[in-house]
Amino acid sequence: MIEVKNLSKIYGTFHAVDNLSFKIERNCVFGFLGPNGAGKSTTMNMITGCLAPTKGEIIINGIDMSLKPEEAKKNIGYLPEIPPVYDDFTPLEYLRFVGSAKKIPKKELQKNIDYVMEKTNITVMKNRLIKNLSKGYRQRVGIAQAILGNPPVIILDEPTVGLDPEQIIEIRSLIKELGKNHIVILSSHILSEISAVCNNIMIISHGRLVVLDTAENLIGNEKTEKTAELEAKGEREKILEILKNTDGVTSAFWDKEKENTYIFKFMPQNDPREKLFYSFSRAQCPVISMFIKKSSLEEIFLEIIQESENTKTGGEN
Amino acid sequence: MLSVYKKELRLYFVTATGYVFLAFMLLSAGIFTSLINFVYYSAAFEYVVKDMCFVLLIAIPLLTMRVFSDEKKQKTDKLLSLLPIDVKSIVLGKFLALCTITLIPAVIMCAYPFIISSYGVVNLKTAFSCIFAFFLLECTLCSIGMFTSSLTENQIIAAILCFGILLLCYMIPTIAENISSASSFTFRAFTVCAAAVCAIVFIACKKWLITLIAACIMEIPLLVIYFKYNELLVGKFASFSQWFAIFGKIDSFTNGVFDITAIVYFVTVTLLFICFTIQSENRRRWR
Repeated sequence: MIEVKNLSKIYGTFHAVDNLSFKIERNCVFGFLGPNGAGKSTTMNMITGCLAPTKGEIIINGIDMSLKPEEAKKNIGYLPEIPPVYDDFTPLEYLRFVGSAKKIPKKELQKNIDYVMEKTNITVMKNRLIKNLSKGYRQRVGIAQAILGNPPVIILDEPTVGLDPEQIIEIRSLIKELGKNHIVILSSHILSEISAVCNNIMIISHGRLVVLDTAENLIGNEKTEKTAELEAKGEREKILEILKNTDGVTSAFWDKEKENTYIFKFMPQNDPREKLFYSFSRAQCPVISMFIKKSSLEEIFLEIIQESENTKTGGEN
Repeated sequence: MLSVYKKELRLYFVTATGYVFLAFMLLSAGIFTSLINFVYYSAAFEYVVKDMCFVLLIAIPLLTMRVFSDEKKQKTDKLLSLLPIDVKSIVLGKFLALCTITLIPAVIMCAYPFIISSYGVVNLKTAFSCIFAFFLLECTLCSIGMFTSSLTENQIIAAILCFGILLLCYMIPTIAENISSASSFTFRAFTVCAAAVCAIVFIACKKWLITLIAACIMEIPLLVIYFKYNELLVGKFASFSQWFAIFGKIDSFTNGVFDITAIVYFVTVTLLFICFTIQSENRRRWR
């Protein structure tokens, strides 16, 4: 369980993280999103105890990070943006050091190391110096370090950077698997990755929490405008007129790439599709197909960030 | 602490640093022993130890420059922060690894008095007490080097900073002999020192009020003494500067005295710089 209460980090007069509060109780994969400079890395550094907050509380599995940092840190595995690996060590030596620093009992250490090396596919490289490994392998050594000792909370900052497509798929499935028994917080700029892996999404902007919801709810949110695609036969002007005059349709236009295809937008609480069906029927313009286009996470992310920018600018004015 | 100690020790020997330091120290010890004991037919090993102090001016900055700055450069300092180890254990682990490295040449040097004794009469007690003091001096200098390394992520700057401090400490006895003992000079010199302390206080806390209080605490008594009891200040700056003559503390050992005050001095300075390093590392996390 992670609980963050009124977390703030202030540099001079700049609020990198501003009164951030959230609680994650059950095991799942959390996508942590935000534009550059939103305070993602600062927040993750504070949660993992690498950086002291200006104010606020961080509670990991019931242990307060500011009161018992060593105890709290035992429950966290963290992969920072740049994997913190020693170039002059081999992965095996490196993981032995991390394991002993995490106070894993000696008897279990080797078993644990073998397990994480197998999961991250670095067993073949275990005796090579890390400085001779490719970027992808270094990243995997970093992931192995984070999951070593099976901590209940795992925080990964852009874990798939530098990996080849096959490795990306492997790491994604590993993250999904980890999400069954751990709380995994995953920060990434690749939104398709977040929507493929995460069950929950948290978006921050200007150091403030903007959205914390399940991916399903977010993509199919009742408050967001829906886009639908319509294929109908008939005169273009006539079809566009029907679309624009029907109650509920907020905007409509012809999709220039396809001959008989039109795009229209509406709010979910005022769904015009039934009315449209009868209107087209009366006008003798046969409807071939009509369906709601699912919004991608990119669209939702941009929309939410834009909204938060507007609110901030409005507030400042 | 043990895991950091083992890791550090291993890093010294998987890289060239440890071997270069050992080679440099043993080569210097070999050259000085050959020259003093064999070429000039002296049976006193303590002169070798005294001359070896000069070698530390270069060897210690080279050994300690990477301790913290390299971690910052490679971003592995984040790993140390996120592992369940407190800053105190990290600093102590690193310091003990440095002590172990410096202990190796000191232990090897212990064989030299025995070798020399087969050619003449060697005062073994003086020789060994000198080697012991030399080891303590190395540890003290390592703590200073470790502190300078914690201040920057650039190894070269850390080494230059450490070298500057050590050189100043090395030259202090010579400087102290040649400075004026007049009370007006003492007053001015102490005022400059107080200004330097105030500057450090301001850089550390960025608060004018605290800096002003620190300035008042140091300067008001100084003014009172200067105007009321002028004669008390005569020659005091020279004796004050002797506090920083770390290298000079080994002299009593070379003269055949097992100087407890020097041992207390070495231990105190070492602990002080370990505390400074812990503070410096803690401060970085709060930034």
